[in-house]
Amino acid sequence: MIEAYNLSKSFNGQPALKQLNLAVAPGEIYALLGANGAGKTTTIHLFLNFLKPDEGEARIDGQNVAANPQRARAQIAYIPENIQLYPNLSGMENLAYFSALTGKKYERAELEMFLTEAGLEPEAFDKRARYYSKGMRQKTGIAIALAKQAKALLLDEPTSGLDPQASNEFASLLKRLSEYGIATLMATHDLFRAKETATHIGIMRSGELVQSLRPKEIGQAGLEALYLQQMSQP
Amino acid sequence: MIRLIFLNELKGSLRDRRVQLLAGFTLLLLALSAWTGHGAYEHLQAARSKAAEKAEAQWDSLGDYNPHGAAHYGTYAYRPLGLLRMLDAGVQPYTGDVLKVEGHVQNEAMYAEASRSTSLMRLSQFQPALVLQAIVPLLLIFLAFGSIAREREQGVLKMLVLQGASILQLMAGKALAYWSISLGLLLAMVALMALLYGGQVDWATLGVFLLCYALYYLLVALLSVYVSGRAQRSSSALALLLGAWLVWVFIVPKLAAQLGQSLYPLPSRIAFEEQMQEDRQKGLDGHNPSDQRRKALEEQVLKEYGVDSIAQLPINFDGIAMQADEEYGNQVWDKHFGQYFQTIQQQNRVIQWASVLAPFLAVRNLSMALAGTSLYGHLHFQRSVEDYRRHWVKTLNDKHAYGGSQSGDWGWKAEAAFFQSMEDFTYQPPGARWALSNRWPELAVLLAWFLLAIGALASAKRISVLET
Repeated sequence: MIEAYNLSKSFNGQPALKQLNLAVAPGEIYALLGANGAGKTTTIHLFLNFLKPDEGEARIDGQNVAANPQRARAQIAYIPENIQLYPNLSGMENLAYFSALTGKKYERAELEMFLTEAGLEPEAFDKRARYYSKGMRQKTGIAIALAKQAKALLLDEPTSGLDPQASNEFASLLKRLSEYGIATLMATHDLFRAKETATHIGIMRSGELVQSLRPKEIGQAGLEALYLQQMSQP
Repeated sequence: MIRLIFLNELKGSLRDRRVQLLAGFTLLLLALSAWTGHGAYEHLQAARSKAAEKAEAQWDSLGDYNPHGAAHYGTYAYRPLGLLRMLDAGVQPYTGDVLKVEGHVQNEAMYAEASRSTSLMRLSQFQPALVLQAIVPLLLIFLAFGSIAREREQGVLKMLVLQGASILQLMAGKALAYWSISLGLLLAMVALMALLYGGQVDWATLGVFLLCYALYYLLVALLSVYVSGRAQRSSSALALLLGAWLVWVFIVPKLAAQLGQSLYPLPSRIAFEEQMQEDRQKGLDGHNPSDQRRKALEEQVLKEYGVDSIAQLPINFDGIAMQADEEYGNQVWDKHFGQYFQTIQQQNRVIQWASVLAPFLAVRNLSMALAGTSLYGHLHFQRSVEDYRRHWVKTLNDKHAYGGSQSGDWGWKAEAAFFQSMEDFTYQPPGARWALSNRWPELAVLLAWFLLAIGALASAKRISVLET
């Protein structure tokens, strides 16, 4: 569903991503770990076609995103690190608007179902988004993704700034989405959540995917040790 | 898609406290300008009605009176006050809208302001037009500066694009939303003014007036959203747009007015009057003094009536001589008025060229022209009054000459019914077509800026959704 083939990108001659190859199948959650500047966000932006690759291909549902951006984007939902909604619209209105942009028109009951599915409390549905916490905004973002019925979900530092409870709820939500067959690629610094949530973990350093593994293969302490080991490499 | 974005942006904006505050403040300014204008209007209307009634009563109560004495007594010509005049007073606060009509003299406000034409070209009064032309665009800038840049900073732009909206659609929808807010303010203002001033409305002119403002607001909204899209940060967009607003509203108009005055200076009031006086005394060519003209006229009239002296004439030669002098004075006035008008046109051409740099100037000139309060409008009124004055004076001089008196009989009186039968001055404002015939360059400039804004927007379709 989410595939990269020799994906490379440079900025002003400086390589930001080198020959990345990865594949995320439906129902899988792939966590990209790495320090700042490791190439995680560049990877996400290449899949979103906000950047053009120098080499290689990024594919969503078999579509080369650079060649068929509209088709590819139709299958993608994206939640940025610090998701912002329209502050003067309620969560419900934000969801209705973002859904309508995709050409989908839902009844209120359907929108309520998406918000409930995403874990937003019913009393928050009609509250203006300016009063939402980051966790509530994340949940609305997930509801937007659900309403889009996207096959691929791309997340950039989704748990950054969330308190442990919200972070835990978010991880549970991702697992539920994976059960629907959604392929998820997330860039994160959160080793604990990556271990808890992801079906695959990739460690990136200086634009390279230096290690790819399954969390089942390694414990929490092992992942942290591995990560620190990779980061300390010259 | 654009409709969806437009409705969402409008809803969000109207709920935004900052927007409510800014729009409320602008509305307050508009109401304040309407209210202060209304005070002045009531005062002016009352004073005019009182003066008009008094002048009419005095004229009607002249009784039997000498026609030449009546010509010196004079009457008044009033320019009607209408809705558009109250929306945009233009140069009228400087030129006035009441002229005294009398014999021998063309009373013109232009004389009073002849040496201060720069003042004529600027608006310093707090009036609705100033708020509509300068403050509403400022509101548009505040609404639009963050429209794209802030959403890019917050990452919302990425989500919107991923949901299927293009940058072009987002820009267009947002610009239309801000534009509709400005249109709301414009229509609210016109409705308020109509309530305050009522009266007859020239709907066609009002329609064109509103269209010009609507076009102006649309181009400001489009350009503001474009700048927001191009700027790296919303703060940069705001700084750039505020700078442009300052240049448009203050710097270019001021420089253009000063440039016009220095390139095409108008004579001072004293010099203007002295030149008129000299031409009237010595003749337009300097070789045809008034005493020689009178002598020639006397010979011509004596020959016409086949008599040897003025005393033998069956008519009053004084009336003929006065009319001849009046007509000569008219030629002198036409010459100087023509030169004055030409200089004004040259100065205005400078302003028109300057409007290429600042569409504020274009809409200001169009607004004044359509309201009938531009200098051209004032000159049109003045010309109408002068045409009336000439007819009025000729009627009195003809009565003096052929009404039954003898030459030298300055005590002769015409009957009261004659004075009461003389027509009052009525002024028909020229309307939108005439106003625009002088202002097509400004209209072209406004359209060109609008097309530029559309072109800019079209070129922005590839702007990045990522912060750099």
